[in-house]
Amino acid sequence: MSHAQQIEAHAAQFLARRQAPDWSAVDQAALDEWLRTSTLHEVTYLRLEYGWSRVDRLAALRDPAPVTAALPAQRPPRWKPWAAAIAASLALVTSTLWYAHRSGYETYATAVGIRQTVPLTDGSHMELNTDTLVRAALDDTARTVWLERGEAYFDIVSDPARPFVVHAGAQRITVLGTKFTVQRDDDSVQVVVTEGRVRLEQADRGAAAAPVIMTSGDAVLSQGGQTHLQARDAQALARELSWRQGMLTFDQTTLGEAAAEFNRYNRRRLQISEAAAGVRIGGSFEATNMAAFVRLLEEGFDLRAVEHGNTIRIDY
Amino acid sequence: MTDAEALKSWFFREVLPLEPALTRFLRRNWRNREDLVDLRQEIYARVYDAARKRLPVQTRPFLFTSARNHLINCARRAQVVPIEHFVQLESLNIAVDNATPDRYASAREELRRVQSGLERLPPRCREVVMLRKIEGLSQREAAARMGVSEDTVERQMVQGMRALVDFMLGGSGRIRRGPKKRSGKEEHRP
Repeated sequence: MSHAQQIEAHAAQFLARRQAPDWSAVDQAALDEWLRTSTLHEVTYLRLEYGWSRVDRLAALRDPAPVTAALPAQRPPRWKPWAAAIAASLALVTSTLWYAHRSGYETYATAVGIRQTVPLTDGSHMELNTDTLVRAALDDTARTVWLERGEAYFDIVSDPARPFVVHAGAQRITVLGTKFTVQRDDDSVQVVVTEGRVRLEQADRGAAAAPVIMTSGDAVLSQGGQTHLQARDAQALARELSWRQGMLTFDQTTLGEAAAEFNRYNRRRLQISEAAAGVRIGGSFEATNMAAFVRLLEEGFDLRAVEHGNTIRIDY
Repeated sequence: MTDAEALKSWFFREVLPLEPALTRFLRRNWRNREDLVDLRQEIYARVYDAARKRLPVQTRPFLFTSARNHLINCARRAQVVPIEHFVQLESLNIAVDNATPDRYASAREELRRVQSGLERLPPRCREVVMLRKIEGLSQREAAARMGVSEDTVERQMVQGMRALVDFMLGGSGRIRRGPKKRSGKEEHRP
């Protein structure tokens, strides 16, 4: 192997491991150090990262149909009262269970701009938002879902014998029979509860961190180990969930934030100049109709839109 | 100084999409195909270091001028390069490569490209990539599913990743293996 190829092999090894769940701060430090050593390392790593992200399309374009064939046995949903559900889920969620059921799961994915409802065998439903990847494992003793990326709305049938647990990054959300959404962007996880209650825990902290019980109207944003609980009024809740109708709803939202939302649903990118990013806007927009939004910015806000390849740059 | 994030995003957005054109340029202007990967990597490092100070206004001419200058330097150092080749390089008109338009593939074309890249991989390598990339299995899970060691999965993954990225960026998508006698242990592991 030439020198360049050795560097490339080394970079690929870092990149492959980086995507693994056991990637630690020590590993990250080793990678940072390696990247700092030489620009040759840095550009090679970036090139692989760029090309590999294009291979991601493989997962993203797949219909939200099961990828794996291992189907858990079907059985009718059982309904039980609230108190029993809480007690049972407290008792049953242990890390052993978590591992024991990792093998027979199904994978569901949506492409950018696509939204789809997925029925689960227990009668529950997941509604996947744009560019979302979810794994689900349901069997007789547990119901577990891993939100790998994106956003999903859950409408869960209560079943005390089988707690419903959603893993999103470091967060573990135990469902106590309810409707809620989880949005994940790498380490940052947002949970909004519309009905019923869920319990939120940092999965990697074990018993050390106190769990948060969230009820209807609560929203939690967790980022880098910090967790913030906020209450949402009915209007704000409706806004948060307008994606389920394919709409984005803004109220006093900065243009920068609105653009970030649009970019989740479209292959074309909106890029807002620093000067324009603070402009506040309101209204409802079709998530995949970026053109209409851009037209509004041009006509209503006197902003200029310049297209450059896949990017639309907005500026004064 | 360019902000680190801006630099990275410039490299993703403007430099790497030019790789097919850059590779064609190198093939045309450098005789020894085996140097290609080294040359490309050095040229990338060169433009990246220059862009740290200031992002170029026009990336394409900047990249190809840097490429030409780098080839000239290499030709000067390598004394075996025939003199007429050197002259050709000096007088090289880099505008020629502007003929290829930058074009963004549609999602469907891109998926087809990934699929044909996958088909070129050896079966076991392909399976590892599919298990990890499509089904989202961890290295350990993929190893268990296939009944092989985690080391094997990682080795196949690294090879598949390099070949697929190469293919996505306009290359042949073939797996590059080192000389047979070299064992994996000699390579540095992160």
